[in-house]
Amino acid sequence: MAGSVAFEAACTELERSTSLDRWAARGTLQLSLMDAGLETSSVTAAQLGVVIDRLLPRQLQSHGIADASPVCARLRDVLATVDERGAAEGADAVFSRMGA
Amino acid sequence: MAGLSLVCLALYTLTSLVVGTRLILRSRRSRGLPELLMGLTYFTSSGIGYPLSVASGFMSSGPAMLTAVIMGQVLIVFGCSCFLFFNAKVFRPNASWSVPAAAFGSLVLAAGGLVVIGAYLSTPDLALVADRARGGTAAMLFALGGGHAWTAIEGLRHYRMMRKRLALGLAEPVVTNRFLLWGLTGLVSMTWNGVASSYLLAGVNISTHPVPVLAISLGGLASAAMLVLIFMAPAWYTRWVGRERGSRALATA
Repeated sequence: MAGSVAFEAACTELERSTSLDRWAARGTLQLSLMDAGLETSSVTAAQLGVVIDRLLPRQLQSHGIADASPVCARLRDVLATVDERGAAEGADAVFSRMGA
Repeated sequence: MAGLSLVCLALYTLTSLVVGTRLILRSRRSRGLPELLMGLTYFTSSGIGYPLSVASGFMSSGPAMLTAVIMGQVLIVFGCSCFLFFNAKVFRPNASWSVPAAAFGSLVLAAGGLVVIGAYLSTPDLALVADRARGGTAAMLFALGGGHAWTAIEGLRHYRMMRKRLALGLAEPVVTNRFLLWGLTGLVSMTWNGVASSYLLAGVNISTHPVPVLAISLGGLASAAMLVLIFMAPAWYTRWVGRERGSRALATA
């Protein structure tokens, strides 16, 4: 299943800015998302930003990338330019609205 | 037993009408398809169709009863189909199988409803009607049971994910709790549905036997309580969920 626009953009940038190949980059991000309770198909740039700050550095270190800060900074820059218009709404947004 | 059943049905009907109306009105403001689907589910199926179907059982055979049966079945099929499409659109918007699964469930519901209506149209003998409608009712209960199982799985799966998000500040405690209640609603409905189906397949009249009547009534009562907590939670409950979450966070800090 294809990932969200934000997820795909982050994967491409992670592959470009590290020695990880395409599948390792996707897997690394996927593991971080699973730890955060998020899904690749619906994750937004804002949610991914939190994951990059809080969880990704540990995953990158486990892949031998000692200094994760510049990689995370580049990912944040890419996410800031992502256009999420037309993306499917997550179940959390629906349940937040319906019970309000 | 009949009194308890009537009270539970009345409470469930009233709650469904209020929740359904609120969601439909909300969908007009937000232009959101999920709230429209869920609003139509509660308003048409649980709010009007199901009580109409039950009421038809107390009517003597004639045009009024036939009208109640036909309207009841049509509204139940329509509402339950909206419920299946809600699951598909909200929980699996990108999955290729979800909309076809909801469409298949809707077809089974429609076929079951037609069998039930056909049984009533074929003979005025109500004992014979119950026998002829059994297959159709079983098909509808099967499709509905599948929908409730889907609800339970998605609700509890999302609750697990939302708890992880909560720890990162990516979720609200109240919304997280709504997924738990949603999953539990699915489990409760699956249980009464399973009891009713098994008695129906054993050849028992599920409208009069105390076990399925009790299961359906208590299930309806529990569902009504959870609907209120999900869609129109009182302030004290929202505060309690927030406090509970806060004290757990402090305990694990």
